[in-house]
Amino acid sequence: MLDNLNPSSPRDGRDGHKSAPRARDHEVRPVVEREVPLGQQADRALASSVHAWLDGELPEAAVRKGDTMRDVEFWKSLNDQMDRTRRMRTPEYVEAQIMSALPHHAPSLITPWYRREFVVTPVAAVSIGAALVTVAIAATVLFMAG
Amino acid sequence: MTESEPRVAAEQDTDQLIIQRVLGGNRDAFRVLIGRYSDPLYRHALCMTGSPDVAEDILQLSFIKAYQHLAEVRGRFDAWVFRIVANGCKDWLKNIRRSHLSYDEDDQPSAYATPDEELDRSELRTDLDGALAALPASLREAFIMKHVEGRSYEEMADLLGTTVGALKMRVHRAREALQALLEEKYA
Repeated sequence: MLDNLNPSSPRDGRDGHKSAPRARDHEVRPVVEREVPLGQQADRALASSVHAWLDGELPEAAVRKGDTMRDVEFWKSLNDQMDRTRRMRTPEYVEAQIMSALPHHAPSLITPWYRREFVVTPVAAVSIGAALVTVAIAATVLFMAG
Repeated sequence: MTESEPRVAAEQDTDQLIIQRVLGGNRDAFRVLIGRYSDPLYRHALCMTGSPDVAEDILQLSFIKAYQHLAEVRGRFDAWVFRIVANGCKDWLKNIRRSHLSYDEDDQPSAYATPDEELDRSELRTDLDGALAALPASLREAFIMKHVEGRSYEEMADLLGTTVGALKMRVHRAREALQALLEEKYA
C-alpha cells in the first residue's frame, strides 16, 4: 500500500522556493541525528497482519477490523505525510552546480600500478638481464673476498 | 532536426550508451544521467539526513565521484550511484554523531530552508521527521527505502548487499519503533 515511488509525479517540491543558489556555509548545519536507544520505546509489537498489509501482502479490509483498526488509521495518516516526501524533486539549480563542478577532462579508468600491463622490449630485457648478471657477479665476488 | 531533438534522443538512450558518450569526451551527456536519477537519490539523502542543504551536498559529491569513476561502472549505473549516495549519507551520519555527541535540540537549525516550507509542514510531519531521526541509521535506511522510495525487499537486498530476511526485520523494527514514538500523540 505504501510502496509508491513515483519519480514522474507532479512537482510540488521545493523548487519554487529556491530559484537561485543560496550562499553555502560550509560548517555542518543541521543536527537532526538524535538517535535514542530503541529498547525504551520499541516495546510495542505490531501484529503480523499489519506488517503484511504494509508490505502489500494483505488487502486493507483484512486488517481494518478489531484490534488492528487503530494501527491501520495510524499508518494511513503517516502515509499521507510521506506522500509529500515522495513527490519532492531536486532543486533545479543543483544540476547546474554539479555540471559546473565536474572535471573538464573525460573520465578514464584509473588502474593501480600493479594491475597495469608491462611491455618489455628486447632492449629492456637485455638490459635487465645484464644488470642481474652484474649484481650476481658483484655479490659472488664480495662473498668470496669475505 | 530541431534543437531539442538531440536531447530527447539522449534521454531515451540507455545508461550504458550515455556512459560510453561521456567516456568518449561528451561531458554534457552526463547531464542526462543526473536528470534521470537525481530525484530519487535526493529524496533518499533528504530523508536520511533531514536536511536539504546536506542532501544537496551529498548528491553533488556523489555525482562528481560517479563521473570520476565512470569507467569503472559494471552493471547498473542507477544501483552503483545509489550505493555512492547511501554511503555518503551513512558517513555523514557517523561524522555528525561523532562531532555532536551533546547538543541541545532547541538550538538546532531547522532542516527545512524557507519560512514557507516551515509553514507547509504539519505537526505530524515534524514529529515524523523527529521520530525518523531517532532511529538507528540502518533501520532508517530500510524504512525509507521501503516506504518512501517504494522499493521491493529484493531490490533493497540487491542494493544493500544483504538478505531479504534481514531487511524485513529492519523494516519491521523501524515500524514498531516509529509507532511507539508517535502513537501516543496520533493513534
